[in-house]
Amino acid sequence: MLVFALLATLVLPFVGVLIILLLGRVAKRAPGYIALTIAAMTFISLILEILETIQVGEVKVDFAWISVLGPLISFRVDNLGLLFAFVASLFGFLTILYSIGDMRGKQGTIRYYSLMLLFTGSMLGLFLANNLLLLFYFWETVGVCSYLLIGFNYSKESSRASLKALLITSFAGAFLLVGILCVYFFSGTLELSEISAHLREPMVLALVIPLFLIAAMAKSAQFPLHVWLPDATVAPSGVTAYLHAAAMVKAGVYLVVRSYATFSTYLPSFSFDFVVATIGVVTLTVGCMAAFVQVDIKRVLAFSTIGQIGYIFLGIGLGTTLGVAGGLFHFLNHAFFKGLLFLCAGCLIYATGTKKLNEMGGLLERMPITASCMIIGALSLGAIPPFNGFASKLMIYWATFEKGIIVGGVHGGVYVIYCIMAMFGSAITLATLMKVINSAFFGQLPSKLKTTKEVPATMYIPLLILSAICLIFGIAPQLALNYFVNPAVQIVVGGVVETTTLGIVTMIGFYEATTIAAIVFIPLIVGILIYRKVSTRDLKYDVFVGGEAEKPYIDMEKVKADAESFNFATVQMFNRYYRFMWQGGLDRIYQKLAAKFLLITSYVRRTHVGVVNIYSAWIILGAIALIVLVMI
Amino acid sequence: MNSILLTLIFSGLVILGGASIVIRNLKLACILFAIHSAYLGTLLFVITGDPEGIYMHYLIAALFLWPFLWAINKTHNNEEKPVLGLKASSIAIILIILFSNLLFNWDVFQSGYIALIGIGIYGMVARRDIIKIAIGFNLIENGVHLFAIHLVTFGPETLFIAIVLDSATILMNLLVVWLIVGIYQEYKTLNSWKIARLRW
Repeated sequence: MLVFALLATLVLPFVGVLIILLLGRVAKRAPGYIALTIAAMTFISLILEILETIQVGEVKVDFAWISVLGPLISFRVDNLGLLFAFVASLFGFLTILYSIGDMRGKQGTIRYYSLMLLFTGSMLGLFLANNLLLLFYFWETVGVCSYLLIGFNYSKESSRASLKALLITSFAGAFLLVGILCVYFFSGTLELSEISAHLREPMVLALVIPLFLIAAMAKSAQFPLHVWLPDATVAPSGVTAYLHAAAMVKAGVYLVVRSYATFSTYLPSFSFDFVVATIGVVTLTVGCMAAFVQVDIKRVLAFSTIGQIGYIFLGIGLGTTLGVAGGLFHFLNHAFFKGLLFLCAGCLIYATGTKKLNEMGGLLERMPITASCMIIGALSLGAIPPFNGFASKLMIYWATFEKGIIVGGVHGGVYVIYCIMAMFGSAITLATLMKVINSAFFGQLPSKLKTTKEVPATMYIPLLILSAICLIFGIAPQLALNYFVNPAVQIVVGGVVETTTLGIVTMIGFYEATTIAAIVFIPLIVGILIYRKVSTRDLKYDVFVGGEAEKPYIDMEKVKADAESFNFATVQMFNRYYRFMWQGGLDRIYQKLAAKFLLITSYVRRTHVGVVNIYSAWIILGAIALIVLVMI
Repeated sequence: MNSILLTLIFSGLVILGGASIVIRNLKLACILFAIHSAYLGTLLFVITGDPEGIYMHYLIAALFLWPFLWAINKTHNNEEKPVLGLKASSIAIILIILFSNLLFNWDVFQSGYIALIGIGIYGMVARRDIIKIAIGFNLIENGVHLFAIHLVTFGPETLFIAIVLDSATILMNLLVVWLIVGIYQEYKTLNSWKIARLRW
């Protein structure tokens, strides 16, 4: 049964791609509904697999291949991989459901849905693979899928963005391949479950893990390889949501956690925890600060993704039980609230036709469902108790502080500073989201948007599901910890975070989420009920003027507070930093590097004349050179 | 007796391959190559005993694919001028056969596949016509096929290798035929030196 479910999970998406390609032209909406069915079936078979795995623990499945090379196609189902696969599969389903409304009447639906399914299938393969080479194969397939999906619109902007994403991630992917070859050379096996036992020279990890880390940094958009992610927002909204919430950027997190789990016996002799945590802290500071000053709604969310993945890296990097649990919990929460926010942003763009925050406003009454879902997502991301973002961020702060106490001395002091920086990043994130919410939903409704309507049901059903999950995980983090995070943490570090019936208990303190939720929500609901009873709905004057001026004297469009006014003071404060970033930032350095590289390749290009005969001659000369080299 | 028969069989295989490279009439070259492939398929069918009927695939591929290319009368029949002429080509191919035999001490099986690979490479290096380059590539693949069978004569992987190589050959040839016709329609030439603009 388990093998059957696993096979169904892994094969169904790829079969779905073929079905879409063959039958996609039957009807206009056929590709969307085929993809939806396949994604639902994949998700169901994954759930079956999870239920089975809970009973038997870890399961390995090998498929026969050339016996000399060992089992090249081998999959392992354990709680860590399943946690990631669950998120990827759920979001594959939700984003496809959302896309049915979003992509209606657009060109290229066959291409879109087949690529989305391929993307989902590759993510599942990546999370469940047991062979490093197979993992690498899926790793690169994910890269190619994201390249094709980011460049979906065929505009100049999107082709630039997709090429940028492909170059950065596959450049780093090469490092992963080198790392895998190193592992194979020093252990003689590619099986993830057996590497640790066969490793002959543990010191090689000093080379292997940095190589893995570079690949993970590029995929997960960590500083300084984060530059591709904000540009990738030119993709359709469903793709961006999937890319940010469950796929692509989470692949890097998975690689880091998996290598922590694989090499856990050797890791204490290195200080990778400090390196990974430092990467996380730098990234979260850069990401959150950059998100604050954006005025394009999707770019705001993209930069905040960079920041939040920084938090995950910080938590996981610490390597303690609480840290890894916090990181994985934040990973889970981030998938839900960021997916929710991106889908809400997609709904806003769908309804208003603009991405600019300054062109929106007052949409709360026009789009109540989207607005309330987005506010829930924003409060979660902004770490307001009792939403889920707060629980996981709190665990990360605790873990950083705890690590500082355990390590002690100057080194421990650095961790305490990291903790403070993480809190600073969180504060900025909250400010960012208040800016987004205010600009989009409150204030004056622009005259252009007077006719805006709520989005169709297929688009808001995913929003409702996701906001419900955000609320549940916020009110009862102990549920998420018990059923999702702790089994995975058990595999990585061998311990679990203690939970009570109402919350979490750690060495540092406790967080009774359910009690706090009751304290917050009961007065809130009572207050809303009283307000609805008492208030009158018909406003006599427009919002901003407060009754002081009548309409003929003031043009309401002009007095609207724009989005930049929220970050004006912060930009003044960090003037130099923002000026550097606005002048191109890291992109300028990369462009200079690219120019140098082009100069070198312009010499090599001359040997590539485009004639097959000469190419074959090159191949033969190379082969002869190799033979001579081996003979010597 | 047996070794003389084997020598005859393998020399026929190699000579057919060499002739399909040297001859400048494209239709004739294609026919010769089809005969060569069918011959190889039959040979492998006989050698391996063909437990799963795998080499029938190869036979079918060989018999149907190259007449398919030949049937496409959308391209021209005379080969583009090769880099080396008839005499030089003949001498080169004879040298390749001699060298491969010397290398493996007149062992027909091993020198057979080396000679086929060598002739294929020669075709790819010295012929300008893309159909000839495709034939050369296929000759290399036939040589590799023979090599793979020699390597794992009757192991459990023979089946697997056969399936992979067969499907790869069939797919590649279909793709190549499609490309060649497309290129001819676009550029009105099969000279690979003139279509260098296809370079990215």
